[in-house]
Amino acid sequence: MHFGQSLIDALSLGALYALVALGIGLVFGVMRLANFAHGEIITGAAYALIFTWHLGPVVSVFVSLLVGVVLAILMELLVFRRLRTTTPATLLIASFGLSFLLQRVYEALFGTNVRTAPVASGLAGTVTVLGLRLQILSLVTIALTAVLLLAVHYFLTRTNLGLQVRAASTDFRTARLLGVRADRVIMLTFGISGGLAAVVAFVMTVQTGAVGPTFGVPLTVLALVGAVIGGIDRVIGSLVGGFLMGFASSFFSSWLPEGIVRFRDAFVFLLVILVLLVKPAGLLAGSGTVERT
Amino acid sequence: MTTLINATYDRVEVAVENGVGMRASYAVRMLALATVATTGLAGCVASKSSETTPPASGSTGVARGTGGAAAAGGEVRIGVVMAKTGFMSPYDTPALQALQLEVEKQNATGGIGGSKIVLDVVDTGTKMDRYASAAGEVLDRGAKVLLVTCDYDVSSPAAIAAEGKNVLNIAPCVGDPVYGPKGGLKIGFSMGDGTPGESSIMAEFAHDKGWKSAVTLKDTSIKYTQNQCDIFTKRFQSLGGTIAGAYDYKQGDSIKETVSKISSGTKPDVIVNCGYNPGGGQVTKELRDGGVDTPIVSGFGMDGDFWLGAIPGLKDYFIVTYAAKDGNDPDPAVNETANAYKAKYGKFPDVGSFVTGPSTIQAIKAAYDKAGSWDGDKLAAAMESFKEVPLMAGPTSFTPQLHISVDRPMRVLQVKDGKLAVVEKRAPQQVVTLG
Repeated sequence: MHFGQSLIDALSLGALYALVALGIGLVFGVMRLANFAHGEIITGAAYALIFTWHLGPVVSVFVSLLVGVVLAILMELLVFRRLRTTTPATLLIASFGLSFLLQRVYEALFGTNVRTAPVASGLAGTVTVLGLRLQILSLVTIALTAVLLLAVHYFLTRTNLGLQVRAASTDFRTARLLGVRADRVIMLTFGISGGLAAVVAFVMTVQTGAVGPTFGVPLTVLALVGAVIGGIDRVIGSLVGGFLMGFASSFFSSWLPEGIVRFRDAFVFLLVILVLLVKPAGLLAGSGTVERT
Repeated sequence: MTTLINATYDRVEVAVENGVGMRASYAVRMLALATVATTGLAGCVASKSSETTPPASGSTGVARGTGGAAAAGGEVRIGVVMAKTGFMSPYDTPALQALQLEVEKQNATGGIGGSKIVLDVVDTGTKMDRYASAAGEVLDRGAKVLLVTCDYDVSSPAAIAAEGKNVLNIAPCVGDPVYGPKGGLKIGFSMGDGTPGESSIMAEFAHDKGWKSAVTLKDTSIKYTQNQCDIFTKRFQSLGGTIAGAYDYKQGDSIKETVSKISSGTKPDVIVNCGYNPGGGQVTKELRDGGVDTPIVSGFGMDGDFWLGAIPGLKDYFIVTYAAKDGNDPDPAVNETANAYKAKYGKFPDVGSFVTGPSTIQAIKAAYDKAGSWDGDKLAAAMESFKEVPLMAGPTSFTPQLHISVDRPMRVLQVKDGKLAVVEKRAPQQVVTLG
């Protein structure tokens, strides 16, 4: 197998995990909530793509984005806002509950069998460049991630609202004392997280063409682990951790010898353990946590 | 995975006590919680609170206790602990609904031994921890036979509960011979087509197509697909074929890297996808999207056309399964049931294993007629003497060692225009087993 080929595969999967981890990390920054139900936002946005794809890509992608953003904001308004003063563990358990609930809702609405549509099937094809077989979707995923990272970076560092999000992430109590409107900042962060989930849903739906009630769960679990080893209390930490999880997973798949490759996950989690032993708070952890009140 | 993470958690807790700091503890707590939750999810992702449905006929008189003969003219209760929801429901539901049709048919002609059949159905939601308790409930309500979900790993707690009360237990469509004496179930049977026969047919079909080299893709998440690939390999090699590559994946995995390996190596004549949906469909899409247009052969796990919409124009895909589900099977009796199914439920069954539902009731009737008792051991002895008993799933034979039929003819279907067309009806020429 060509090294360049495996590098592109690994970069692509790393980019996808990074996007999921970024969505989780943003919310964690302002809420100290590792939102496990992020996967169900991905699932909801993916269902939207499947059911509206026949209306055309522009309409379908717009509806999917809308579903992602609205679902995320509704989670904040209906569940997490009421739990804001509770402990992070309580928030996490609440997000598990929400995750299970939404899976059941999807199952009741759409059944347990997958729903299918050939979403952007042109992107799923491959091109050969300099002897490398490149899936167009891999290149699109890498490019999309790069653009979204720049956009999020610009938002956080160059806009007033972004400054408020960063301030809230760093020290929520002080930020509130200085006039940052907590409800607006948190809702905005959930909205961005929902938008990122919709982008992930698009990439995943192009790749699989089929969506079931637990569609977003596996990706979210690994991205969440990635966010923790990267340092979930910093956006850059989540991002890097998520990327590393995806990259390592893909790279092990490509290069572990036959017979051993089946233990890929064991190797990935061995890395996770090693990282946590060396940097228990995560590779790029911030200076500390502050209670949200 | 949980064990590993918890071990790490404990060590970091020590480090925290030694002054490493609260942030470390917090990060790892989050990771440990996420991991524990994930483990829980594996069993719960498709679960749902179970509920007991009332007897199908709305009857009130139910035979109590276990064993013994039911009075002629009375009722005999059959407990059903299967999944109408959750990840096993696409496989359980067609068999269960077709079984209900067969119960109506049998009751119209006097039931079993003169007793009307009453089904006591509990939807387990494929929730692993529900099976034992659900089985206990229906057994306490007087079930004389227990029917369970079509996967040994999932349904064995229910089967063990039935074994403890000497109640015959049947999995309508388990494919692995482990459901039976091999898996510790002395009075447990499957009406499914055994993986040895199915996988041997897959290999013989590939060989007869002139395909000499194969790549296998094995979903390692369940025993059925693992054994399917292993038996295929053994039979294919015995026919002179070679395995050019063997790759594993787990349900839901992307196999982008495997696709890269296949497309950069020597092109095989056939790819064997030992998987089930939705993961098996995702693997297929990634292969075709990656430019791999090699013919693919699968077993019952990939039956159904509900997943084909994701891959428009899919061709050269062959599936070895129980029956054609859309009223296009070579067997008129199968088509009659498929059409009745559509008339009652509004659509054809999702997969061809629906024939195992009626077969289950037919087998129970044949066993009771022979044993004259509902005692599990007596019914099991009667079933062990089955020699090519004509059930809807095909001629069925059991032995004291093997409680699943492995040599029935199956159907080879081919994906054509988003539907499944019959290629041929085919029995294994030689049944290969593992170890």
